[in-house]
Amino acid sequence: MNEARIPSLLRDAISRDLEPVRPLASPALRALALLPVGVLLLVAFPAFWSWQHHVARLPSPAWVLSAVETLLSLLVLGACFREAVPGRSLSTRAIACVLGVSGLVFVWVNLTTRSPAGVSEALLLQWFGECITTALTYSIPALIAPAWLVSRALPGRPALTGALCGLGTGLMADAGMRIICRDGDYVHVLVAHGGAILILVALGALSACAIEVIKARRLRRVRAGGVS
Amino acid sequence: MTAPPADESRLTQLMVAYQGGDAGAFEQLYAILSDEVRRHFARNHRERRGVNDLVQDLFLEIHRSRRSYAPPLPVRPWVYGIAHNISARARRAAGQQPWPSGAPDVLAEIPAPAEPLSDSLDIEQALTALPANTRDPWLLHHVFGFSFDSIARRLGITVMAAKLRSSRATRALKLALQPKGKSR
Repeated sequence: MNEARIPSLLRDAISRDLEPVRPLASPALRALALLPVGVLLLVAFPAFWSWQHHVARLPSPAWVLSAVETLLSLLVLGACFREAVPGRSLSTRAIACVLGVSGLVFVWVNLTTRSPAGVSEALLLQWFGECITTALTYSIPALIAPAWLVSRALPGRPALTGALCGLGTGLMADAGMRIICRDGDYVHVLVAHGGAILILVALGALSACAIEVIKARRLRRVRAGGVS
Repeated sequence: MTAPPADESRLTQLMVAYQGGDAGAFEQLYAILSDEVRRHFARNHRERRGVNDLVQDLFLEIHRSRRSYAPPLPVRPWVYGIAHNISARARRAAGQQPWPSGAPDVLAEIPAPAEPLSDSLDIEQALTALPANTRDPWLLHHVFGFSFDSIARRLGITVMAAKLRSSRATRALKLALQPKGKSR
């Protein structure tokens, strides 16, 4: 064997933590592991919100469509986890397909179940803010779990991976959000609910890039002879 | 001094053993893959020291990310995926430094495999056979992930020309790498 050729720094770094590791589960299984988070955002979040604010939830057919959106969010997260594994990155066509289907399902689910509430312009803007704030309040903590799962792999395109992670979480949160939202106005749905998802996409991309920078710095420290 | 070509199943076995905490398996993986990945980096980096650092970074990252390898998938795509990531990091760290054009002087110092590795050497030969004006846009885009805008600026050509040349290179590579006797 060419054992002697391994640089001593590399050998030391390897021998410092050579404990057995369990391979990551498949992307589909890891996405499925987030099902409780999806159920929490789909059921517990609207239930808590309607109890706290005494507002009526949408009737049962709307819940079915929300469940469809939750399932879609798990598919998006599965694609995200696959993208994060080296050598298994998604093709441009697959990415376009994921984004296209997500957009279509979001529009279909949100625009078929509710009619516009016909509120004044001032209230319209207030409700924009309320929906965006509420969606972000509940979904940013939910973003932590998939972001952690992504960080365990090594995405070659961190911004894209993080964006997919944010998209999945955003769709998951929207599935619950649309049940408690009082306004079915198209502009409201697209700007407030879609806007919240886009903010999560941006946050996901930024956090993945930040994690990547931190990892690169750690690697440089190891190479410079620092701690692992 | 060169490592013998290893088939994927052997690499998979070694990788599984390495994930189980076997230091010897890592050493064997290093022996099998290091020259191969060094050649991969050397095609694109002029300085030997830079290439050696990249190889070391690669194996450190392989170690840190070893849980992300899922057996029994082939090991090489996983390793080259990480290599692509390392190259991208190096590129980002280098900022706006111009693309190194004289790479082959490092390549010459690295021992070639004793027998052709069916994938890497075929691709290398096919790439060498391409005219430089189509090979460079292809390498810059598909290996190093530069955008066509950036490639066009670097090479002083239009974006459309960069895309066209890369596309021609892809077609030529597909033809060159087709199994013998198989038609389009």
